[in-house]
Parts: sequence; C-alpha cells; structure tokens
Amino acid sequence: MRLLTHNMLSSNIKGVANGFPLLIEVEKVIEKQVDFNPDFLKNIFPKIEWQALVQASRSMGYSELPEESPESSMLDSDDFLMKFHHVLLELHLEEGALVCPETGRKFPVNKGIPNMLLHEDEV
Amino acid sequence: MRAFGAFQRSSLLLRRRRANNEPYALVPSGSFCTDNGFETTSNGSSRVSIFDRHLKRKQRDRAAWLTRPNDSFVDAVAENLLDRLEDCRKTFPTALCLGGSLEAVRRLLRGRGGIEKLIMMDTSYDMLKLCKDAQQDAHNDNIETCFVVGDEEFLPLKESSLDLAISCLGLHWTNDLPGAMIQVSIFLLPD
Repeated sequence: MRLLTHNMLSSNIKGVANGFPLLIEVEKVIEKQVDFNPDFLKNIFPKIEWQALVQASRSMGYSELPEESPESSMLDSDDFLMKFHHVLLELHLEEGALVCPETGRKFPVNKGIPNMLLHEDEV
Repeated sequence: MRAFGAFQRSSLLLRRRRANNEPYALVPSGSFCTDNGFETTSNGSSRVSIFDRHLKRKQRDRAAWLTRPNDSFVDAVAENLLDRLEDCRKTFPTALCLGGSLEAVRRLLRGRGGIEKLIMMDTSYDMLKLCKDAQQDAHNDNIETCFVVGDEEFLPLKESSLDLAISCLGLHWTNDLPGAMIQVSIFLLPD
C-alpha cells in the first residue's frame, strides 16, 4: 500500500466522527522504483491532505517533507517533486496495520493490501 | 431468498408504521445505511440481511482460484460499461472500481476516461490479489492503481475524493443497495 492510497482511506466504524487520517503501524516497508511523472504529481497535489501525508511519511521513517503545506510554486522545484514522488508512490507499506485515530481499531495490511472490512458489531 | 428478504423488509416497515403512526423516513447516521430506521429484530441486528456477506466473501475468495482469465462474457460486459466513458467529455482523474470483475475492468480500460488513479475495492482479498498479480499491458502503465479490501456498504474513503465510481457485475449481492449508492454519492466530488 502506497501513501497515495493511505491519503484517501478513512475509518468508517459506526459512531466514528473523524476517522481520517489513519495512523500507521509499520512492520515492513519496501521501496519500489517508479518512473517519475511530474504531470501526475502536479495534478494530484491539490487533492492530497498534506498533514496526513507528512505524518504518514514520518511513521514510515522518511522525514524530509516540509511540515507546512508547501506553496504551489514549490511544484516547479524538481528537488521537491522528487521527494513528493518518492513518498507518494515509491514507499510501500507491505506489512503492518492502519489504526483508527478514534477507536484504536487496527485494520491489517497484508502483502500491501489493506483490509478495511468491518466486524458485524462495528456497522 | 430475495423475495423472502423483501417480504421481511416490508413487514418490518409496516410494524414500525403502526407503532409510531408516522411515515417511514430515512434516518441519517454515521454509516449512511438506509436500514437504520428499522426496529431491532430478534437476533439483535437492526439490519435486514438478504445475503450472508461473510459467506459471499469466502465464495469470492474461492472463485478467485477458479476464475478463467479473459472470460469473453465478462469481457463483453466490462467493455460495454467502459465504452460509456467514451461518451463523456469530462475526464475522471480519480476513479473507484467497486467489486465484481476488477481484472477485466483494469485490463480493458485502455486509457479511457482520462483515469490517472484507480482504486480497486472488493470484499475478497484473493480477488484483489489476483487482479494485482495479473499482467498489465502498456496502455495502463501510467495509471496509479491501488488495491483495498473494503465493503461497498461501508466505504472506507474520504468524502468528496472521487471523480468516478464504476462497478462491473459487483453490486447485485449488496444487502443495502440504496445505502451503498448514497455513500458513493457522498464520496464523489460534486460537478
């Protein structure tokens, strides 16, 4: 699971008001090289929740993203785009869990696929 | 089975009406399930279940092992569905593919709809794994695809985060179809 996916997922347990962003519990992180595509990055940038991405990248052990949400002028800087690219597309959470910020319920991540299914008493 | 479920549903509705003497109304809740207005049934659950979701998931896990690659019937349905994308002027950068024939949709998409990011969601882990491991041709190389195990009745997504939701043969075993549709509309960006 890449952080691009993480940035869209939210806990949907009944009664949880704010299930976003999910915390990450890391067991195994892998990196996979992906072709650099600046146009995709520029398009996706406005849709990314920056704080959630920074928080997620820190828990995956990567701390080079700026804390503050960057100005859109930063998108012309190749250095920044490379970091953004790396965090968004190349870091994979292979094994671990996503944790609901309100209830602490863990959603397991197995071979890179998060399992967001709820138990019967949670719906 | 289906007829029985519908009967059970309507009988519950009648009982409720008689009890409060007011028409049934949708009750909004955290899970946006349209069944929440019903009174609790004898087994303690307030939801009417026509399909055993747990069993259905197991069946789909097993089906993943038996699925024939490039099934021409499934391909025809997927092709029909994706063909509609060519009728739209709009492009859909972020798309959700909900259950059903994920692999066929992914294989036959061939750049239609201007999709840049595709979320594949299914209740069955093995189905997703099958789709993830399938060979992709060059047309789809630039689509960022992610795989999530999730229930279409309880979508684990952020609000207003999608441009498109498609489902190819994937919603006919949903217990609460209106509820699933309401959720999808919440997760779609307004035009």
